[in-house]
Formats: sequence, structure tokens, C-alpha cells
Amino acid sequence: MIAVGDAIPELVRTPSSVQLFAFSAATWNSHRIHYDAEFAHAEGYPDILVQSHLHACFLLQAVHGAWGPDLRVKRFGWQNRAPAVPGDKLTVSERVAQIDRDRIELVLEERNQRGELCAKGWATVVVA
Amino acid sequence: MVSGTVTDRDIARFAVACGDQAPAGSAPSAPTRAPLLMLPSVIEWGAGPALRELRPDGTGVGREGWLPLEGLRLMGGGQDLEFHADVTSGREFTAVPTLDAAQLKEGGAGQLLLLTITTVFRDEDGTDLLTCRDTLIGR
Repeated sequence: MIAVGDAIPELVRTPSSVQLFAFSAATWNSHRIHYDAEFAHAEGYPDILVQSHLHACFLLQAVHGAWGPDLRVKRFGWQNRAPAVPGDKLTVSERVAQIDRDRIELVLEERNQRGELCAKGWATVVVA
Repeated sequence: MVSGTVTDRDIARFAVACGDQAPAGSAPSAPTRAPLLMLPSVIEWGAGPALRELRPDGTGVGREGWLPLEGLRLMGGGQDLEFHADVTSGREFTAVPTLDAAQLKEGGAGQLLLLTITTVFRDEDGTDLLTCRDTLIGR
């Protein structure tokens, strides 16, 4: 039985530069900030940046990982809050915010190894 | 308007790039269900612009190419997504964007242009697949 306020098991992802390359290729994202370290340094970042949409994928993976294959995601949103670079340990936590019959509202946070908020999200799911 | 077709290979590559296993159809000849975030994550569904036409930062015009944003550096701020129907391999789609709002704001490092764009993805029969509200930050 789940209840409002319940915390769901965390998900940890450590993206590599290879994963960033693969994600840029799969999404046809040619922005140099994701593969050109010299460009990223010139922009004031310590390394190439994890794509904003990849942060979103990690958030949604945490939802699917916690609730299993019978989950139906009706709505999902995310916002980027701070950059992440390859090698960062990104931990996604989620919490039940509201339950309305078969609909569950979740709030999500992705933080790096220093506890800094990199992305936040929210989801409306229906569990069969 | 953007249009494209979702293929099994594209689905598999997106899933692998996310760190997931490539999904399979329910039967060998059955279409494969695309990951939920695939449509709103892919920047270009065709070849995109020629390399010589890319901006110095490597970007093309993307889905917001119909807006007069030359000279601005754009960053994705987030998305709000409503999923209406499954997206499966072999399905053609169109994506129709509309500009909801444009706000000029004072940020810590100067002025920011905040754009809200809603894009509705529909299949070839006109069925809504996905509504995507993007927030873009221009500097």
C-alpha cells in the first residue's frame, strides 16, 4: 500500500562521455557543448555537459524502475537546474505527492554527488 | 511543421543511448513501442542542415527554426509532456509548434528571453500522440 509522502527507491546513473556521444547521435543533437571540451571550457564549464533531455530520461527511468512494467505515464515534466558532466554520480529520488483513485502524482529530483539539484521533475502515472 | 517516421533502428538507438535495453515488439513482426521521451528529445528527424550552415556552436535551427531567433543562444529549460497514444515503429507523424509566450526578463548575467512553445505530435490519421510544452531560454 502506498501513501502520500512515501519515498521510492533511488536510481543512480553515472553518464560517461561515450553515453553523451551516443545520446547526441541518437537525437541528432550537434551542439558542441556536449562533445567539445574546449568549447565547454570557453563557455565556463568544467567539461562537456550532460544533455538536458538525458537528465529527463534518467528521471523517467527512476519512475519505471520503481513502478514496473504495468505503469502508464500520463504526464511527465522536467526542468534543468544545474549542469552535470561525465563522471558525475546522479541520484534520482522520487516521492508520492498525491493519490487520486488510480492516479499517482510523483515529484522527482536528480542531485549530483555534492547534493546539488541538477534537474527536477513531476509525473502523473496510473498503475494497473 | 516537422514530419518524420519512427523506425525500429531509431527506437533501439535511442533506448541504448539512454542506458536502457533496446525494446522489442510483442512478436517478431509487431511494431516496437518507442520510449516516451524519444519524440520530444530528437532535434532533427531528417538529415538536418548542411554542416556549413550550422551555427558556430554546432546547432541547426531545430524545431524553433520558424521563429526569428538569429543571434540568440538558446538553451532548453524544460518540458511538460502529455502522452495521448503509443508511438510505434513505422508510424509517420507531424509536429506542429505554436508560440504560447515570449517574455523578456532581467537575469543575473543580463537579459533573458523566455519562450514557451507547444508542439502537438499527430500520426498520419490525425490522432494526437503527444503534447509537448517546451521552455526555451535565449541569451
